[in-house]
Amino acid sequence: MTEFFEMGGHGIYIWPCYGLGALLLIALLVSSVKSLSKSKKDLSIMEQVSKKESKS
Amino acid sequence: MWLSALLLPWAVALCVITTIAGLYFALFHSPADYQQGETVRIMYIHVPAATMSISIYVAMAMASAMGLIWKHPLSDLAAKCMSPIGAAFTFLALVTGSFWGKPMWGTWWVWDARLTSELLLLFLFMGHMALLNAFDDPARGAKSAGILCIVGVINVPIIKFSVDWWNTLHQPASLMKSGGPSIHPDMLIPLGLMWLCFLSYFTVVLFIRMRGEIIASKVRALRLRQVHG
Repeated sequence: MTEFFEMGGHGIYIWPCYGLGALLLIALLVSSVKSLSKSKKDLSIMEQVSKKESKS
Repeated sequence: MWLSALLLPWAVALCVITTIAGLYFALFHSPADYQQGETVRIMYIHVPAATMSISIYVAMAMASAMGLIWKHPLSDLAAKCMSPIGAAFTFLALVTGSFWGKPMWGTWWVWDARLTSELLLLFLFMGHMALLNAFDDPARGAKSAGILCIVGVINVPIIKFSVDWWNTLHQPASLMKSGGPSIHPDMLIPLGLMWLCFLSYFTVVLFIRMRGEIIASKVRALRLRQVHG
């Protein structure tokens, strides 16, 4: 197991690459999903407001 | 919207499958290189990320050109949503290259033609994002950013052929060259899988961002109507 993580002494170069890749791509995905759900929420609020206005 | 609704589930499924399979082949199944040892595993992130960075830039330039010529609102939107993803892949390619360069070349960075032109690509992506938000009128921002993106396409063949034009540290192509790829299938499989993983990831995130932008523009239109109505 330790042998696998050491990667012949090059683990310190290899793992940061995989770690950064995972971190960057997950962060970008999460921020994109968050902004989509925020936009959806804003839209539902605006639609409710305009419905109320058209009734009154 | 219908296209993204149709393709999104497939892209998500492809992304999940290729992530698992790609990581398995990259970290466990593929052999160490006879010269580079285990550091060759950096290639499975570095090469697909670099390929994506250039492909996304070309796609962004095409979308920008369509936006400038036909004024289709979706093409400007697509270009806007692509640049953060492209910047992420470019940054990933640069950093993983650096982590590969240290043990193999003995240095984190050299002002090699390939490295420098890829760094310029990162600045082009960042400039694109900055220009989009630099104007009060989003249409002017999209136009300026689109022009920057199209002019910047000149950098793409420079990146691709830099390794042939200048004989510096970065190795020449071993995949996209005449006579076919010159690497063993055991290394080609994880490379292909990781590339598919990044491509499907790009599709997924692009669709999510574009949906978000379309809904946000609907919200803006409703707000305007409220103010003026």
